[in-house]
Amino acid sequence: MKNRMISMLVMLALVLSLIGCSGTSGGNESPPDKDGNVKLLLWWWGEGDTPGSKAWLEETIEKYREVAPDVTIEMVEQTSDQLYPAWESAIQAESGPDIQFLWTGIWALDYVWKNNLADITELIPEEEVSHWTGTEGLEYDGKAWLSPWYQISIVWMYNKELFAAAGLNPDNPPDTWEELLEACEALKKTDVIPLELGGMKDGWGAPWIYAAFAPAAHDSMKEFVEAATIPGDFISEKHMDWFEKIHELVEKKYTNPMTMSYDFYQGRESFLRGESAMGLATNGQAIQWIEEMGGEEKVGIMNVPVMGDGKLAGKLNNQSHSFAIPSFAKHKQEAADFLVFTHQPEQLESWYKHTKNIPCDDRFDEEWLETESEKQIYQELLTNSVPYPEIFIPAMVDQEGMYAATQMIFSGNTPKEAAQHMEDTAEKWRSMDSAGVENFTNWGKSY
Amino acid sequence: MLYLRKRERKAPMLFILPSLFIVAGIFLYPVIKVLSDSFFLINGADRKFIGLQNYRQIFTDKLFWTAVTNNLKLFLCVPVLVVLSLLFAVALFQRIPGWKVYRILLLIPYILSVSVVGIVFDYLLREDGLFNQILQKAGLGGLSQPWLGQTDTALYAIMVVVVWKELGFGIVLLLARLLSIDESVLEAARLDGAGILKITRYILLPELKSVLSFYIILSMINMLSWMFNYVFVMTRGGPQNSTYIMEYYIYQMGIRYRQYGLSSALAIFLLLFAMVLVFLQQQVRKCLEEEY
Repeated sequence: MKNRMISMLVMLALVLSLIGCSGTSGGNESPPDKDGNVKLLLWWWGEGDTPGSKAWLEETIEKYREVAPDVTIEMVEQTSDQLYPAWESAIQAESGPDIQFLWTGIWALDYVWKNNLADITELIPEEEVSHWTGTEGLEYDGKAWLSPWYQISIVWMYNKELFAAAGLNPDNPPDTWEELLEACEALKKTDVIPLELGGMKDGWGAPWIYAAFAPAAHDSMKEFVEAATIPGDFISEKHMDWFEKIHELVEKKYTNPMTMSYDFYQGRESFLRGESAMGLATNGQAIQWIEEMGGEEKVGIMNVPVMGDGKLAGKLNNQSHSFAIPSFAKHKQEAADFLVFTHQPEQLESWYKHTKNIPCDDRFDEEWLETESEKQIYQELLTNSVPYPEIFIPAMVDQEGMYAATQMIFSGNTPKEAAQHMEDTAEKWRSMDSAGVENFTNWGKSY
Repeated sequence: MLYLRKRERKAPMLFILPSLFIVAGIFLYPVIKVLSDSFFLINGADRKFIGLQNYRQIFTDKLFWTAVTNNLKLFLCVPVLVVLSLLFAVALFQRIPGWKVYRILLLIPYILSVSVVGIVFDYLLREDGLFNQILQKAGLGGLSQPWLGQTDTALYAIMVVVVWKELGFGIVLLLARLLSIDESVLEAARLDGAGILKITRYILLPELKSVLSFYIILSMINMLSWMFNYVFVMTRGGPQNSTYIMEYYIYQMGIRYRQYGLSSALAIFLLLFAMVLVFLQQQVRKCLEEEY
C-alpha cells in the first residue's frame, strides 16, 4: 500500500514538473548567428486560388538575397486545411513563422484582439504604409495590422457563345436581377446550366454566394459587422434577401442540379468545361480561364448585376490577402523589411505578370494591364467595390451557420428556415464567445 | 533481512523511473492539460477559470447532441462488421476454392488510406456517380440519390464506406484465431459427423469468444475515436451539419472557432465515453474467462 502511495506521488510529481516546464520561452528576439545571418520563416497559402503566387514568391526571395545577402527566407506552403491549424499551433507554442499569411477581416483581426500580431506600423515607415490599398478588412483601432498582399474578388463570368446560342446578346450580359432571371430562363431552354454557383456538398461555396448576392440589400458594411451581435438580425428582411434570391434560382432550376453532389471546386469547373453559361471565379483565375476557354471573343466578365435597392447593390466584392508578423517572431524588423521589398514597383509588376491579380499598392501601374477584362476588373475594384462580406462573420456563425443554411436552400428548405438556422447559430455564438461578441461590437462601432 | 528485501523492491523502481517519466510526458500530460483547459475560458493568452461552465455549454448545445447521436448511430456498424467478419473468416477457414485470393482482396480496402477511399466513394456516390448509374441500368433509377449530399442518407453512406474499409481487419483477426485452433479437435468433430454449421456453433464460436469481445470493443472505440478522417474527407460534417461526430466537432471548436476551453470539454467527454467502453470490455473479458 505504502509503495503504491510512493509510486503515485512520484507520478504526480513528474506530471506537475512537466506542467511546470511547459511554459515556452518564445517571444524573445533571437540575435543573428555569429556570421550576422538571419533566417526568416515564411508560411504562406494561395497557389490554389492564385496560381503563379509560388513562382513569384520564389523569384522575390531570390531577388531579395541581392538586396539583403545576410537574410535567407525559407517559404513553407500551407494548404487551405493546414493554414490556420498550423498557425494556431505556432501561437500556442510561441514558435513558428516570422511572416504569416492570413485571410482578412475576422480571420486576421481575431489575432489582433488576442495580441498574437506585432504592430506592423511600428516596423514599417508611415510613407510606405500610405501606399497600401485594400486595407479595410485589416484595420482596427484606426490602423492596418497586416501588410496587404493582393486583392481578390469573386467576379461573374459569362460564356458569350452560349449566350448567343440562347438568343441573348453576347455583348450585353444581365445588369439587373430581372435581366438575370430572363437570361437564365432563355439559357435553360438550350439545355445548359444557366448559372453555376459551385458545388455545395462541402459548404465552401457559401461565402462566395454570400459575396455575390448578399450586399445587394444593404447600405453599408457596418450592417454585416453588426449582424452577428444583434439578436434577430439574420432573420431581418435585409439579411434574408440573398437566401430568397438563391431559393428562386434553385426553384426555377437555373443552377446546377448536381450542386449538392459536388464539392465546391468540382462544381465550379462546369463553367470552364463550357457546360454552364454564367459562373463565379476569382479575378485572377477569371483572366486565366478566359485565356483557356479561347479568349475574350468567347468568354467575358460581367459587372455584378444590381440585384436589390441597397446602396451596395451592383458592387464587386474585394478582400486583401495579407502578411502578418507574429508577436512571437524572432526577427520582426527583418520580416518587415522584406514585406516592404515585396511592395516595390518591380515586384508589383512581376506579381501581376505571374498571377493576374491586383497587388494592394497604389504604385500599381495601369499600363501593366493587358486585356479589356483585366481593365474592367481593375476599374471595378478601384471605383465600385466593397469588402468581401464573409470576413465580417464570426467563424462559428460562418461555418456552422452560413454553410449549412446555404445547403438548406439547395436542399429545398425555405429562405426563412435557412435564415433562422443562421440566427440560431449566431445566438449560440453569442452565448459561447463573450470576448468575441465584445470585439465585434467594438469593431462595428468603428464603422 | 526484511529491510534488504524492501530495498531490493525499491531498486527496480529507480530503473523504471526514466521510462515512467517518458510515459507520463507522452500520455498523461496531454490528458491533464486538456482536462485543465476544459475548466477555463481561454481567449488568446488570457485564461479565466470558469469551473464547469464549458461542460454546461456543450450539454445545452444542439449540435453536440447531434454529434453524440451520430457517434451512437455509427455503433450500428459494429454488429454488421462482426457478422460479416465472422462469415468471411469461417468461409476462408473452410478453404473455399480461391480462398487465398479472396483473403488478399478482402484485406486490400483496409490497407488503403481513408483519404483515398473517401475520395473514391465521393465520386461513386454522387448523383451522377457509378452507383446511381448502376441503379439506373437496373431499372431502379428512382432510387438514385446524392447519397452524401442529403441529410437523411449522408451518415448511412459514410457507414457503408466504413464497413467496406474496416471489414478486412476483422476478417484477418478472426481468421488468425481460427487458424490457431487445434486441427485434431476439428478432425474429431468431422469424424463424428458434425457439419460446418455444428462445427461453427460448437467449436469455432466458443474459440472465438475472447477475440470477438476484443473486436467488438475495439470497433466501438473506433466508431467513437477514429471516424474523423471519413467525415472530414467525405462530408465535412455536412450537409447541414448532419454528419457531425464528436471528433469533428472537437476539431471545429478548437481549430476553426478557437474555443479551446469548449473543445477541451468535448475531448474530455469523448475520453470518458471511450473509457467506459474499455471498462466494459474488461468486464466482458472477465466474464468470459470465468466461464472457461
